[in-house]
Amino acid sequence: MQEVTDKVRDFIKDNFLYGVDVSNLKNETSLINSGLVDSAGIMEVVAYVEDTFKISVDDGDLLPSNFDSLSGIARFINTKKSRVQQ
Amino acid sequence: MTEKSLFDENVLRIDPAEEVENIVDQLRSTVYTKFKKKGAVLGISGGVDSSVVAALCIQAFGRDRVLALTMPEIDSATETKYLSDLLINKFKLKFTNENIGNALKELKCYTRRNDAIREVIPEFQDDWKCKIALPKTHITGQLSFFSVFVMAPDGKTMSKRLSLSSYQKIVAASNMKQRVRKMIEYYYCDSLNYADIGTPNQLEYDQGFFVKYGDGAADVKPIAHLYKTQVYQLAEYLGIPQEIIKRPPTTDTYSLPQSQDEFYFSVPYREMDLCLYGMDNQVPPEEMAPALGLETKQVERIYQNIAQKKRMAKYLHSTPEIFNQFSAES
Repeated sequence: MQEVTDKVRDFIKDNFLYGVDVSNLKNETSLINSGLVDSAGIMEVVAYVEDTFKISVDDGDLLPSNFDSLSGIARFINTKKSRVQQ
Repeated sequence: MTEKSLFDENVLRIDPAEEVENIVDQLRSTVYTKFKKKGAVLGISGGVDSSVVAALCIQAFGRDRVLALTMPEIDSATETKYLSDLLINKFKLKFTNENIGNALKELKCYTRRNDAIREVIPEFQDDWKCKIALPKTHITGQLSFFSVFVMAPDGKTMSKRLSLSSYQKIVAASNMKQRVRKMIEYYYCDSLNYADIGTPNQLEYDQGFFVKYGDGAADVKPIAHLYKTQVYQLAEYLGIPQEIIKRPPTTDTYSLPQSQDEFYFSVPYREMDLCLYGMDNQVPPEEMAPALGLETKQVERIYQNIAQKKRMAKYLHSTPEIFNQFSAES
């Protein structure tokens, strides 16, 4: 879980924060409400998750709980991957 | 005991006569005195906003100093021309028709858009109709993700969620329409020494529902301080034809009918107006919800969506950044 969270954190840092201090980016920080990621950015995050972790994101998965925080994204990825493995 | 509404939507009621007088005064002082221009150019679309602005311009400058432009293209709805003609006839507007379809073809607007649609729906053909739309996220609680809807000539329909790349290309190509229109408007402004009058209402202006350097460009935006419901009040007062008032707000940008709420706001304009007012005036969601017949959670989602769009609109509102003084050689 931590490994996935770190990977996602690096992606957010490299693609949306452009060298800004990331100390405020906690695992539970809302990416949208904090203004770090806009609606086009969320599309980018979803594409990253699909491409990097080789999972399919269905329309029903597009919920803030799955994509609005580092921990939410990591949980979603782990849940999806464990379902694929079963 | 029934739940009592704590928020009164009549807060958006205005005095139309006073508002018209105020706008007309400001139009005159801005265009004549500040900009030293001799009249007004505006694009009309058969919608309520541009119709109200046209009527206001006539009051401010007189019929001889207002030029209305109709600028249809290949995807324009058939009722756009009919409703524009209604307005022209009602107010005896001076007008010019500039069909921008060929210009857009030369710019490959349609080809670029259709190629982008084919990234997600390979079967899509150039003679099919299309639109993009958002789900009603305040009800579903989902994130805002656009889907493309297409219809073949035989009526067969398909839809697919857009990838970021296809979404951005479709919007980029479609934005050419508003930018070409603005270019034509400024041709007439320059040739007549008139000012360009923009037609966004407050909802559109605040939420960034415009194309930067397209319909977002103008010399004056006389109704950008008015909520959409207030624009309707002015429309009734100014005698805008009922068929125009009753037309559902549309983008008129895609070949399939597309309402403004499915393209941008996700929520009908009445609810959007009230929630925008509520957010800007610190009305708590639990007070707003009964007035809208929604659950508090749904209003919270609308507020979040409004806040997000306000953040995105900052870029659209920004003028070019000019940096500080150059560094002189020491």
